[in-house]
Amino acid sequence: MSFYTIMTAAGWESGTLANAFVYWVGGDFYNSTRTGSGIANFDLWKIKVPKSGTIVFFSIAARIAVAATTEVVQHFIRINDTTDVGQINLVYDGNERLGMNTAVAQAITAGDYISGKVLTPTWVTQPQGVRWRCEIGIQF
Amino acid sequence: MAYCLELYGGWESGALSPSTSYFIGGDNYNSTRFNMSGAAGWTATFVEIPKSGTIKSVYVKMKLVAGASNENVQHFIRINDTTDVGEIDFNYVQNGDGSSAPNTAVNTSDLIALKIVTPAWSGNPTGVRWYCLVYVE
Repeated sequence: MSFYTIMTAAGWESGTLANAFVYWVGGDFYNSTRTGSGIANFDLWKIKVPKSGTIVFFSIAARIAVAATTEVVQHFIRINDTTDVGQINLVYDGNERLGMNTAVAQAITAGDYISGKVLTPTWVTQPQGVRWRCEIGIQF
Repeated sequence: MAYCLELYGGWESGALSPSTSYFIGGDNYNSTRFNMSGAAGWTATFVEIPKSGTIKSVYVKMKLVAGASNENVQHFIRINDTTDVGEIDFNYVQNGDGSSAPNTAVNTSDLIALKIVTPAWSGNPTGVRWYCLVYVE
């Protein structure tokens, strides 16, 4: 049994996250909150899986310049723009938030496309300046 | 044993020069602003291989603000500033990506970066950023 990880990072130093909106954490280190966000833009962020295996963990770290109210933000790994797995729920009411899901157990095939996906709630007060780091662990 | 190395770089604005080699690797910012071309670019961006193995696959994703004319851009993994492997070609008319399977051996402490060789564009792109995933097994 062997193992590898795919790491991605994205975000923006300033700006406010939108309510009830999708952001991506994939193949662009820059400006995920400024350009190319929204549910229709998976293709702008997708990363090609290099080796078949099973996704066994997903972690997400969020750095938040200006904290939000306590509504839950959902984080997923999106596969081929059809399937969301590994859900992690976090509340952005502080400056650093970290979540990990070690029970994902999702088969993946070389050539599949993946990206981190962030689904925001309808906040009373939205966060500003949010950056993410996402790690996906694959066993084979 | 397997691992991925993620190479990042680019710039939100600014135009790429034609017929120029750019490098991205260990600096996620401003590869087109801080002289990330030519020999200085290699020195500023290479990353070190942590464990011997074989580069099995390379995936390059490119995003841009303003597209170029339709000449192809070449992408390679450059090793120790001597060898280019895993060529991937696509144009920069719009956002693009590509992959290759170089099957090239690398040793611990070898140095690598993504090398981008631009064509003699009739229209240069602006605001180009790259993400490169190098899989070693």
